Amino acid sequence: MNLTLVGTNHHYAPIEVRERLSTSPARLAAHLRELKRAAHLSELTLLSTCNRTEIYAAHPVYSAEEMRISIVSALSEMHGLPRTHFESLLYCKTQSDAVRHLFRVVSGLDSIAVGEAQILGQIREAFRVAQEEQTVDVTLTALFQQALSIGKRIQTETELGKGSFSIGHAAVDLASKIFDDLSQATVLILGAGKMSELTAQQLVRNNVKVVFVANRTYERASELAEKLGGTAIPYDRFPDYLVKSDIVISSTAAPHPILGKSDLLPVMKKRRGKPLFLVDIALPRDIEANVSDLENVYLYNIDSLQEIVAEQSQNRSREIALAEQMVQEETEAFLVWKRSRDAAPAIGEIRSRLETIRLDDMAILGNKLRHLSERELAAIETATKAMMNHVSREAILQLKADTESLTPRLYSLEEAARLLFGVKPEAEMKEIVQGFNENQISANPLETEEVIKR
Amino acid sequence: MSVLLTLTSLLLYLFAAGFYGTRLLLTDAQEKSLSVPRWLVRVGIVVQFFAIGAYCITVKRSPFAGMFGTLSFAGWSIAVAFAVFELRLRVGVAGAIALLCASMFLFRALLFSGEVASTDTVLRNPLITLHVAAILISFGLFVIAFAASLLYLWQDRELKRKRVRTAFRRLPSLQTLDKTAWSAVAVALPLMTIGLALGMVRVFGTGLAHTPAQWFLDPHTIMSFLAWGVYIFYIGARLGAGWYGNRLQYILIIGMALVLSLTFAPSLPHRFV
Repeated sequence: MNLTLVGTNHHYAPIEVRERLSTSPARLAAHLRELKRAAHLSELTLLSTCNRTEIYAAHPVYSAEEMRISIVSALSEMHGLPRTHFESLLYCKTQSDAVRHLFRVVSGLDSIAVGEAQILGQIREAFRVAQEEQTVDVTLTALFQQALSIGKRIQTETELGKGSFSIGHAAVDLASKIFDDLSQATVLILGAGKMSELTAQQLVRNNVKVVFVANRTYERASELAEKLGGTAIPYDRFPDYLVKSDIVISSTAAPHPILGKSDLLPVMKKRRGKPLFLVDIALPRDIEANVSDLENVYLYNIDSLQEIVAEQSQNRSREIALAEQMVQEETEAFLVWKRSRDAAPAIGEIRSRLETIRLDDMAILGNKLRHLSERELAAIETATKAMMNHVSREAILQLKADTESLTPRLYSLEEAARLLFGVKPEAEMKEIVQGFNENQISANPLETEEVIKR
Repeated sequence: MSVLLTLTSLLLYLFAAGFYGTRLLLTDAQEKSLSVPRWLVRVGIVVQFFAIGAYCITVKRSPFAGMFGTLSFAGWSIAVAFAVFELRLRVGVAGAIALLCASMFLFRALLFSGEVASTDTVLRNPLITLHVAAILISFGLFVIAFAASLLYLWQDRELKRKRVRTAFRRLPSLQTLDKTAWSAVAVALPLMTIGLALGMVRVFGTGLAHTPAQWFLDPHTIMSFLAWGVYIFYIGARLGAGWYGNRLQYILIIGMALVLSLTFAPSLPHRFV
C-alpha cells in the first residue's frame, strides 16, 4: 500500500494561501467526500487547522506522484483555486517520511507552539470524520491510531507539553506590551471555538476580568462566557462592544473578513485613540490586514504570532530531542508493521499457488495411483505437502525478514531467486569449500560434510 | 572642586546611560544588570549635589549666578527626575535618553566652567532664584516626558512592525510610557507656570522691563510661553479631547524641542551672560 501526504503549513505557505486551502470543521466531512470523489483514492484523511492543510492518502496501485497529482487537482477543483497558485507551496511526502511527518505533527513538534496539545484533538477529529465518512481503511486507520497513541505518549512521558508557549501566551505577551495592567483590560471574543477559548483562558489567567463573548450561536457564546466568567452578547451587536474592548480575539468560521478598516474607523474615533489590540487567529482571517494602518490599532494574525511563539519555544531542546527520538522509534515500528502487512498477501498468494500446483499434480497422479492403499496415498499426500512447505519456507522467511528491515535493498532477478529458494551463489559455495579445505577440514570427513551443508 | 565633581557626575551619568542603552539592545542582558546603572545615577546625583553646593560656596551666590551653575542644576534636575520615575514606574530604559540629556547639560556647563559668576544684584533676588529653579526642575521633568514619548513611538513601531526583538522585550508597555509622560508633564506644567509667574512678578514688580512689549518680545520669553502653550495643549488634548497614542507623543517632542531651544536662546533681560 502506497502512503502519501500532500499538504502545506505555516513553514511553506503564507496565510493568504493557507486560508484559501483551509476547511472549517463544519465542512470537513463534505470536503472529504468531495476529495475522495475527485481524487479517486481508496483511503483518505483531511487535516485542516489554522496552520496546515494536509491530505493523507493510501492506495494499493497509484504511485506517490499519481496520488499527488490527483490530490492537487481535487484541491484546485474544491477550492476554486488554480493549481499554479498553490502547487509550488505544497509538500509531498511518501511512506516513511509521511509517517514521520504525521507523528511529528501529532506530537506538537511541527506546531508553531512546540508541544501544544490542541493538535492532538484536531487530528483525532480529522480521523473521526474520516471514519464516519468511511474514507479510511486498514492502513490509514492503523497510522492514525498509532499517531494518536504517540501524541498521547509524548504528552505524558515528556515535558514537551508542559510550559509550552502557545498562541494564548503570545497574546498575553503582546497585550502586556500595550497595556499596563491586564486586570483593567476588557476582552471581546468573537467566535466561541477552541482556539478562542484557549487564548481567552490565558488572558483570564493573567487577571483579565471583563470578557464579552459573541458567537453566531448564542448558546455556545453563553457556554464559553460561563467558562470564562464573562458575558455573552448577541453576535450582531459585537461592533458596539468594540468601543469598550481593549483586546479582541477573533476566531470565527466566517469565510470572509468580519472586520475591516471602515468598521474600525468610527470605533477608534469613539475610543479617542485608546489602543485596540486585535488577535486574529481565524483561518480564513476575520480581520482585514489594512486595519493595521489605523493609529493605535495593533493587529496580529496567526503568522505574526509565530515569531513570538518560536522565540519562546527555543529553550526546550532537551524535551524536543526526546520527543523526536520517540517519533523515530514509533515511525520504525509502524513501518515494520506496514511492510509485514504489505507482504502478507504475497505470502498467502505464494502458498495458495503452490497448493494449487500440488493439488493439480495429485489429481493427475490420482488415476495412476489407484492401486495404492489409503495409507500409502496419505503418505504421498503428506510428502507432497512437506515438499511444498520446504519450497515455500525459505521464500516466506526471506519476505518476512525483508519487511522487518528498515533499509530494504534492490536485488537482481537472479539474486532474488537464489535468496527466495535458499540457493547460495556458486562462487560463494566454492569459497566456503576452499576455506574448509585450507584450514578447517576435520579429520572426520562426516563432520566436514556437515559443516559444508550448513 | 565643583568642576571636578561635575565631571565625575557627567561620567557617571554617561556610564549609566550606556548601561541602559546596552540593556535595551542586548538580548542577554540580565535583570540584575539594572542595579548597576541605578547606583551610578544615585551616586552621580549625590556627587553633583556637592558640585552645585561647592559652586554656590565659591561664588557665594545661588547656582543661577552663572551658566555653569544653571546648566549644572538643569542636568541635576533631569537626573533626579529620572531617579524618581525609575523608582516609581520602573522605566529604567528611559535613562538611555534622559541621562544622555543630563550629560549634555553637564557637558555644556563644563564649557562655562571658567566663566566669572554674574554680580548682577537682580540675580540675588529670591524670586529669581525660585523662578529659575522652578523652571529648571520642570525642564527636568519635561525631559522625562520626552524620553518616554520617544520610547512610546519606538515601542509602537515595534508592535506595528511585529518585531518582537530585544528592544520590544526591554521597552515598557505603551500605557506605562504614556503614564510616565503624562505624570511628568502633570507635575512639570504647574511648576513651569509658577516659574513663569514668578518671573513675570519680578519683571513687572520691579520695572525690569520698561514696557510689557519689551519683555514679551524677548526671545526667551517667547520660547518659554510657546513651550508652555504646547504643554497646555498636551494636557488639554488628553483631558479634554481624550487624545491618546502617537499624536500626544509628537506634541511632547515638539515641546522638548522648544524647551531645548530655550537653552540656546539666552537674551539680555535674562542676564545669563
